[in-house]
Amino acid sequence: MSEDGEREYIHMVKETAKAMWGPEAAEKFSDHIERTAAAVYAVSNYPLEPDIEPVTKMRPGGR
Amino acid sequence: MEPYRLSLAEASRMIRDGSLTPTRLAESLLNRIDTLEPVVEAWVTVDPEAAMEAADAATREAEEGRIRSPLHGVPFGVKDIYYTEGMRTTMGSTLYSGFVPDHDSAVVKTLREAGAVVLGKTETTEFAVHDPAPTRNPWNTLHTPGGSSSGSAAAVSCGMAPMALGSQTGGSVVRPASYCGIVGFKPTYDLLSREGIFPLSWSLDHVGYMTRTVEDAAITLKTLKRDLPPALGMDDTPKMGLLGGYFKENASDEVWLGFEQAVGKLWGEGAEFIDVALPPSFGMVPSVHRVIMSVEAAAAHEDSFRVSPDGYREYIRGFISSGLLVPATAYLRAQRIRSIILRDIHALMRDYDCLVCPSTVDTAPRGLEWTGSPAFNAPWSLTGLPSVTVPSGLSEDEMPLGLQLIGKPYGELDLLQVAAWCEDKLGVPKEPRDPYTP
Repeated sequence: MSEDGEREYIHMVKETAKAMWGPEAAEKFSDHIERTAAAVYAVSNYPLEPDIEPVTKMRPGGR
Repeated sequence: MEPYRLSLAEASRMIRDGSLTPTRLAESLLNRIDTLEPVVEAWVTVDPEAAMEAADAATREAEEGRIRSPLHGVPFGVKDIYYTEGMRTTMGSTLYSGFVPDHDSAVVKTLREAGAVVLGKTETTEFAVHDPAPTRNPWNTLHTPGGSSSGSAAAVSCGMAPMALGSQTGGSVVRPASYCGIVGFKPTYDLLSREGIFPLSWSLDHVGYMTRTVEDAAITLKTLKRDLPPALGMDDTPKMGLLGGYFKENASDEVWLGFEQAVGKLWGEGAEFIDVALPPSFGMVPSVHRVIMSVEAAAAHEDSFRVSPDGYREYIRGFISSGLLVPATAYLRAQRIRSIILRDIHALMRDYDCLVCPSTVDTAPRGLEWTGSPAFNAPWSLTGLPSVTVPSGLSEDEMPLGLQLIGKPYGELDLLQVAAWCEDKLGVPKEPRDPYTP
């Protein structure tokens, strides 16, 4: 995970937002788009082992 | 004493022994609402006629010796994202300003069957996200009551209702309860049915509620869920895992100072505190929570958002838009990391009655534009663990502070036992607050 990588990813998502909704809307929501994109970048770079399954039905405590 | 001042437990006891009628209690609360609502703005809808009709019926039943439950004849408020049969349910949105459900949400249905009386619907931020309600904090009306269960917290704080339903996806029960100096309780994920509650994020949404005492929270829980696992019981004094790290780094100075003072007081009364190091996976909580919530909110609103994007206010519109841009693989990866966080936090809790940290990052912010940060509550929404805030004192500028206790999965009764112990030792007054405007 690097600052450059994060910056590039956020830039790419903002360009996608512009293409989807136009520059005005993308700019208006840029704070949300940046924060969510940063979260996605962090999640995407967190190391995982293959046997870790997603939570599909929350069962705290396995009950 | 005016009945609106009674706690839920006191009112319940008096209804049972015949010294108070549900009719008299409902009248007193409706008068209180009439008097304070112009200042506090906690309610979207109040239906005095329906409330009095239900209270009168509860009175007749009580006179015939039929007490349905400890909540018989006890009025309560309902956050305006819970469906209520025949009563407008707006979700805090203009898109639903005329929506009248034809059935009750499961929780409201259970409470009505238990003899409790619906007073009306309380203000919420739009779709329980961040765009604020008009509600003011009774402790200082220039400050937010927090959100998203803004009206429920303010109403209970100033004695308009002894209990009010809320919901929590990030910090929407515990935070406003703490900001308003009352008890806010969120049970284990899915312990209480979410049926008939407008979804924000399916795997994060929790039913919760506010009261002025821990005893009231326990009575409400036992009414809503009659087959709870029994409490394991604690020793004479609780053993708590003290959360520093992330919480200390992010708390304002006055919140951390107040937390240390509360912990010191409880330690002096015999509580045991052990410093707990948070697992490395905990650092992923904010990112994982945001990815999951933004995607699930985008999915929940997708159809309506496509048709009426202008019907959404600015914050939620941006939030949904950002969720629509998240790759499916990132969402599933977030749910996989969530598995690790759950595993690590469960392991952490094994040796303690509960974990403890401040309820909020700061005291209720000044202004009504921002309902405050859920950063100290979102971890427990993400992990689905039961959590409760207990008033722990006041800041220098006389705004409430809260102690947040986090229990084991399905350990609600044990958690509330510890919370009651803390409440007793901290000795913070529980009376309704008369709104204060500087």
